[in-house]
Amino acid sequence: MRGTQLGVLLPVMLLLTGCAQSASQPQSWDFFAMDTYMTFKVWPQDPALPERTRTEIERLESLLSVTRDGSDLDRINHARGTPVTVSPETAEIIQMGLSCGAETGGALNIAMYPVSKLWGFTQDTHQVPAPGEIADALEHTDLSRISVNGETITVPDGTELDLGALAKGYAGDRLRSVLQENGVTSGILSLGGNVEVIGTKLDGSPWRVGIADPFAPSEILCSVMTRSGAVVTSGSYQRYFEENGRRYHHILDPETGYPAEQGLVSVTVTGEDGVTCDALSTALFVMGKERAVAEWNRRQDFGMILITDEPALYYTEGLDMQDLPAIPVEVISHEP
Amino acid sequence: MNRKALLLGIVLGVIFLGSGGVLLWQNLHKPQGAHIEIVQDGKVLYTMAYPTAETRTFRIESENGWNEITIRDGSICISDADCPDQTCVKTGMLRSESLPIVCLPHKLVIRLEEP
Repeated sequence: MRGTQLGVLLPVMLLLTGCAQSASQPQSWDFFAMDTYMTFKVWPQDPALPERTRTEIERLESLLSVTRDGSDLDRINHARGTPVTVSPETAEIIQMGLSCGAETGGALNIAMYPVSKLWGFTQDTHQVPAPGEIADALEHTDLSRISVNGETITVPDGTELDLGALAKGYAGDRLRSVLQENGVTSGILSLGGNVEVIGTKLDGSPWRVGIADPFAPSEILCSVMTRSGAVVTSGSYQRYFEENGRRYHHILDPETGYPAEQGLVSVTVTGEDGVTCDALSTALFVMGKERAVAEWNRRQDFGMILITDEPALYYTEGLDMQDLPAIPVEVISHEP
Repeated sequence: MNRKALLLGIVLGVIFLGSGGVLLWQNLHKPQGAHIEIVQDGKVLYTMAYPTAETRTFRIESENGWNEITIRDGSICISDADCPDQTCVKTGMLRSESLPIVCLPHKLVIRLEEP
């Protein structure tokens, strides 16, 4: 009898002492994947969630990585013009990339890998390519020559795809679904410059998502409040190198093959799904403020925060902005 | 029988007090307010209060390379590193919970934890 009591009491007591995170608190974890640092804070707690999210991200990375041998992208890029059968997810993202490319007049181009390889942004071997090399590589970036037929992808020999502008957004959406399917009702995920939220904070208030100051990247320039969906930022301050006193950043203009110089230093897009926000943040950065505003007026299904090199901050009406900075701030309204 | 009961009482008492002691120790050694954590590949290497009163520079080595950490003016930065992209160095001083300093090639994170 007493042995039974002790047998019950002991685990209970050990449980009490071993429980580091109170059940009323959110659960946090982090890991490195897809060439970025990912952090999670969710509620309610479930010890299985970190492993589930990591497994899902590793599955996606094994399909979408452009540098991993045997990935769908690797097989497409080495098929020398022959058709390649890929996973439904890869086909879906390629189709999304092509659609966004068509809608933005080519400002998003998923076939820029031959050019970005010359700049060394994917291999961390930065150099300014010769103009002739860029011109030659641009010959292989024609989106109209990429064919998607169900799950069969065909690209011309010499054309190589890179889904870097969409993959993290797509992964964030998948992770959000995995967490929700496992009972998470409140949470925030950060995948580098991509933030996705589930529900509100535990106290019912919206999430405050900080927008980095492009001129001092460890500091918050302003914040946007959000209750659902994604907040994705593309900025020239995120990845760049300097050569002969000039700065070259990683967002390439598909028109020129050089880093996009349209006066923007940071573009944040808010919306329901992360993959659209991710694609748009890159495309709008390349388009520059005027074309970005026109695109926002045309689509009307996302929010946008632009920071220019002046510096000045522009944000679209309807966004709940907080902690606005001392630089000039202007609200973009819908055209009548 | 009574001796057995006494023994059980003592065992339970020791476990109970021990449990309380563990909890107390954990609470005493856990930084109460905002604090900085230096984490390499998931392992917390250093913890310090934020803002910190320390001033020092030291290196963290890993199999992939090294990062030079500088603590000054209440905060912390990566002042030098042998990584190819130098993103960690360009980030500057740690200022916000939502913007950790990250060195991807060395899997090193310096983050601010706020209560």
